[in-house]
Order: sequence, then structure tokens, then C-alpha cells
Amino acid sequence: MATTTAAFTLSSSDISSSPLSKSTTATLTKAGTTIGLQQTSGMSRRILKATETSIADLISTTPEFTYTADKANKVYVCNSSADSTDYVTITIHAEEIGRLYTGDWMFMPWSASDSNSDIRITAPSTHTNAVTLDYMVIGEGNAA
Amino acid sequence: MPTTTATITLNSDIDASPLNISDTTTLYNAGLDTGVEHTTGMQRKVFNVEDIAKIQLIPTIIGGTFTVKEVNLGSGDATVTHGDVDSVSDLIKVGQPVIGTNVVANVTVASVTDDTHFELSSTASDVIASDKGSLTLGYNVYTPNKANKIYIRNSSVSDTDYIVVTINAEDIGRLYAGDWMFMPWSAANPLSNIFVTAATQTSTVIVDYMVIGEGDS
Repeated sequence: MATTTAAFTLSSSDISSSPLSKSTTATLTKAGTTIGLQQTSGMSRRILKATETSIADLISTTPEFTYTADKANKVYVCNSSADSTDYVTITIHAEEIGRLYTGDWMFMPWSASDSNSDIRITAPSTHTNAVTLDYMVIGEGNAA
Repeated sequence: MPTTTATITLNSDIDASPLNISDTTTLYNAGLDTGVEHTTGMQRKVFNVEDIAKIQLIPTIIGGTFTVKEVNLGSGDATVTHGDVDSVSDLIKVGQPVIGTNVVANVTVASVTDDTHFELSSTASDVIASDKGSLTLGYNVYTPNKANKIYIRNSSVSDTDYIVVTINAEDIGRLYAGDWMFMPWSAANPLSNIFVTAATQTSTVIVDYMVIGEGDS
């Protein structure tokens, strides 16, 4: 079985009166078990040209196989662009999650709870440069 | 300005070639190179076995709520008349979220007329009458579409105990014991609250969470 770990460190010496230092590591396992996740989309890259401002799928629930709903999938997305004003808005179904600015990354669970749970992206109409997104799913895929 | 960094390191033998990713971001205000200044600090919520309802973990409201009493509001009307002059009239501000019976979701204070009147952003669905009604207002809300980040960790120990993380009505995903998440949060409207549901746990579920971002700036 594969062993996948996701470590997180959050650090700030001056955002509050006492320094902030938080570290944690998760071993990514199948839902409710100690068995490691076995499927990955691999790291993918999507480049949104300056002219691409419509909402678009980044990660679909129905690629070559269908993600089984409500499993322990994890999604990583990073905005690898260079211009600090270029962001993408991340959406699931009709719900806006948040904006990833240049250099920002996100790592979150993904239920893929129904066929409308695609992870979608929108670059603002004001973006002037290509927006580069690196992304990956690690999870259970079409697990039984 | 504060300097805050967030680093992720992913390692795995899940693929034919090893997966080794390390990425660090400095948390800036939206579109700027100045560091974010708002944080809730690390907070903890403990769910007992019987706590199986969907619970609001991170509200879009900052600073809590207050109640406006002695309210009159007509059906199909947006003008609130109240008699609660002494205790709250100075607290009512444009943009505050409004919650109450016969007030539809996602309504805010559109304008403040005087000490006893303010306008809602949408009309009431039915009457609040006889000077006996009340409305709940939030002191402030996260400014929408800024560079807020959310950290949530399920600090439980039982492999089978998970929480479902939801924004508004949309399920994001499940965090199993030891899992963590770090994601942007637009707080796009007053309904964009973050909820968790621990519906099937067999032991106490501990959830640590924090917001770092721009707050109501």
C-alpha cells in the first residue's frame, strides 16, 4: 500500500501578540481505514490565457472513471502565476469557495458528492497575464 | 505588516516515481504584497457522540450579534421601525446581516434612516407587527472576496470518525481523523458560513480551526 503524507506548517512571528507556529502531518488513508490512498491524477497544469475569463472545469467528477462519492479524496491546487493581481476563483457546484492569488495553494478534502461537484475555476475579466494552475487529486477514485 | 507563511509538503510512493512537493506561500492581502493582519487565533470545538447536527463552525459574522427589539415590519415592506432606541440605535450600520422570522436569507441593512428606522436590502415575506417582534443583526461581516484562508483539522483519533465540511449548503469534503485542510475563503455573502457535521462518530471528535486573512478590512 502506498504511504502518502501531507505536512502543513503555518508560521508568523507578528500576526498576533504571541508568535504563531502550527505544524501537523496527516497520513492520507482511505475513508475510515488505515489503508493508504492508492489513486492519483498526478500533477497537472492548466494555463488560462488572458482571454479565458469564463468559468471552466478544473477537476471533473467524471474523468476516465467516476469518483465515488463521499470518500477520502484530497485536492491540491496552486496558483503558480507571477503577477500578484492575478487570481482565480475556486467554485464547487454553485458555491464559491475562495480566491487563490499568485503563489497561493490550497489543500482540501473533496467529497465529489454528486455529478455537479466539479471543481471549477474562473479568472477575472481584468487579468492581464496567463494564469498557471498546478493541481492534483489524491484519493480513492472509483473505489468500491 | 505581519509576515505569515503557509507550507505544504506532500510525499508519497503512490506513483511509479516518488511524489515530493513542497510549496510555501506568504499570506498577502488581495492583490497586494502587504501581509494579512486578521486572525481568529486557533480555536477548538469538541463534538460529543450525541452532537450529530450540522453546526456552524466559522460564521461570516465578525464580533457576534445583537438584537433589535420592538420591531414593526410590514409584509412586502423593507422599512423596519423599531422602538429600541436607547440600546441599539447607535449599533446599526449599513451592510450588517439581518436574521429573523419573515426576513429572507442573505438580507442586510441597506440604509439607516434615523434612530428608529432602517431599510432592509430585501422586503419582508410577512408581517412582524405589534411592536413585539425582534431582529438579530451581526456587528460586522468578513469583507467578501478577499484573501482569507481557513485551516481546519480533525484532531480525533478514531479512524472511522469524520466530519463533513460544508460552505453554505455545499459539501466540500470529509476530514477523517488526523486530516487537515487549508483553503481560501471568499465569504462571498452572509450565507457563506462554514459548517461541520459529525454525524456518525463513535467517540468525541475534536476540531481545531482558524481564519487568517483580511477580516472586515
